[in-house]
Amino acid sequence: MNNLAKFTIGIFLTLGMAWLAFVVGARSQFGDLVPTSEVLDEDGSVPEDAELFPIAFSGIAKQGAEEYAALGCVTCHTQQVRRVEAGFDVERGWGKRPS
Amino acid sequence: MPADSPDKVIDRSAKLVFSFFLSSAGLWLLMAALLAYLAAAKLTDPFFLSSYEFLTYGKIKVAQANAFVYGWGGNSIFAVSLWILARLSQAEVRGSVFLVFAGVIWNLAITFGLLGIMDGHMSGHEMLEMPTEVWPAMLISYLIITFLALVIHRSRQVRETIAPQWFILAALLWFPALFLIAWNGLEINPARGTLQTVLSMWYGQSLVWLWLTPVALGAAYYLIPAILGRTIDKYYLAIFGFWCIAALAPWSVVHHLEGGPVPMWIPAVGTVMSIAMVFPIAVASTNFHATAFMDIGKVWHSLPLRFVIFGTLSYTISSYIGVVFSLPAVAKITQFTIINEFHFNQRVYGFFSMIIFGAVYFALPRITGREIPKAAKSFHFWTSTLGVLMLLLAYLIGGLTHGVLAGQPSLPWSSSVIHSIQPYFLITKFAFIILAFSQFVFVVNVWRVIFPNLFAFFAEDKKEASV
Repeated sequence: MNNLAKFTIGIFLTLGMAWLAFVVGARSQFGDLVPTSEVLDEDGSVPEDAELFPIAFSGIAKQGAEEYAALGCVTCHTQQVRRVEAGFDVERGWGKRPS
Repeated sequence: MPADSPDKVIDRSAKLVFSFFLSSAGLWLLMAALLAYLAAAKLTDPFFLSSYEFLTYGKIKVAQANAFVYGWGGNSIFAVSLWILARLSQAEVRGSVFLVFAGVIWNLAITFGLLGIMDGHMSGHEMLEMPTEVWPAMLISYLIITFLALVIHRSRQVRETIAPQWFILAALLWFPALFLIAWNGLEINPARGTLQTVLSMWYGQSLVWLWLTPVALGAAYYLIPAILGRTIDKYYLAIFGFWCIAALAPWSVVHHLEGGPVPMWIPAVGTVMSIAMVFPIAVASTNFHATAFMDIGKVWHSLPLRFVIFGTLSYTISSYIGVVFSLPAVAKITQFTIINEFHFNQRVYGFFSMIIFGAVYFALPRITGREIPKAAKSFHFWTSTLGVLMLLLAYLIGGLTHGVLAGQPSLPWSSSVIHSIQPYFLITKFAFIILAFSQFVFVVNVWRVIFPNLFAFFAEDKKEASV
């Protein structure tokens, strides 16, 4: 505690553990997900001409998304439907399934 | 001519920077108070000032949080940290000009950041909504201030460090790490999809737990023994408490993601670590309150200590309540209700701000050599207490109502659920008016002592007019 260098290393180590888990670890877990189709071919690949999901917004939807971000709509409105065990979202009819 | 005591020399060296950062902090506090009032007013009457595009609720709410945390929080952290580190190192503040320069850059960056938010350029990241253009300026000015704080610490005579120094140094050093990690993962190498959500939540909450909180805790660890003249009770626990917060807090903050579109292990780990946080909270509480209750009369009579103990009690209560909220069964009811406002405000007003007020009222007379009238401080204390308690009760009861009603799908959302919490929004509006008034009193108290000539000028005018 009295050696500033050791103290600094110590507090960055503790912070680093959490960083390793939530930033590095989570990234390695699902950071490489790419848009995929609803059904896959027998060998697990994406069929040609299949509709990919999720797709990036385009046109007016993209403008809407930018407006949403610029106006801070997320302070009151959420875009996600919670898991059934975790909340009443699906029960209230705010979504057919968690998203 | 007797030589000045070492403390007086140090206080004199800190005078410029402390006065500068404190004056800035006060102005930001008033700005945040105004924005908080506007936000609360818009919740009671959505058509209030609705023809002004830059005052829409989403922008005001976000601007308020940023003004409060970076403007009031940042500047008051700089003021209090530099002074406590100087006092404990028994070393003078060096590079005052650079510190003030950095402070001006910090304030300008946040000003432009807030203008950017209100102009529609929010970046969409929690507690980093200010447009990315101002981030470099914030980081550079912050690094200058932290560097000079470390210079003070390094020039200390006594090798041994004590609890206030650990907490304050850790807070100062953690901020740039958090900021850079968030900057990298959100803007420079943006992660895909909901990875950004995890990082956003981690940064936004860590800002409170690893930046605001440790500075306030450090200040409490300094002020309680300094004013009471006794050592912290069970001080040997403090080092355990410090490292528990360092190790557990960065994990516990993600429990807010419960039910969200992230792998379940993330909020689950967050909840477990949040429950484990009971240990360091209990340590801090024991250290502060066992010491304070040994001498409760003295605590009450010392205005600074009154603020500090109010703050430490708020810390304990809000942290324990936070642990309860992190349980999934409770979160199901409370997660998206206004009870989160209760939790946030208890931490930043009831805990952080009150302790800062106490630290300022203790340090200012020593630094400027001028006393603040006890009645003025007392008035600030009572209006603050009234405002904070009103706010917290409104959000707590309103939030529980909100959660319970929301969980009954048969009740229509707008006419039943939201309608039932309207009265609580009205109460918060009045609470914010009282708080704004109390903060105005604080700023007047502080400015009267920092800029006595300003007020003497006005007083002289009045005298001449009456002749």
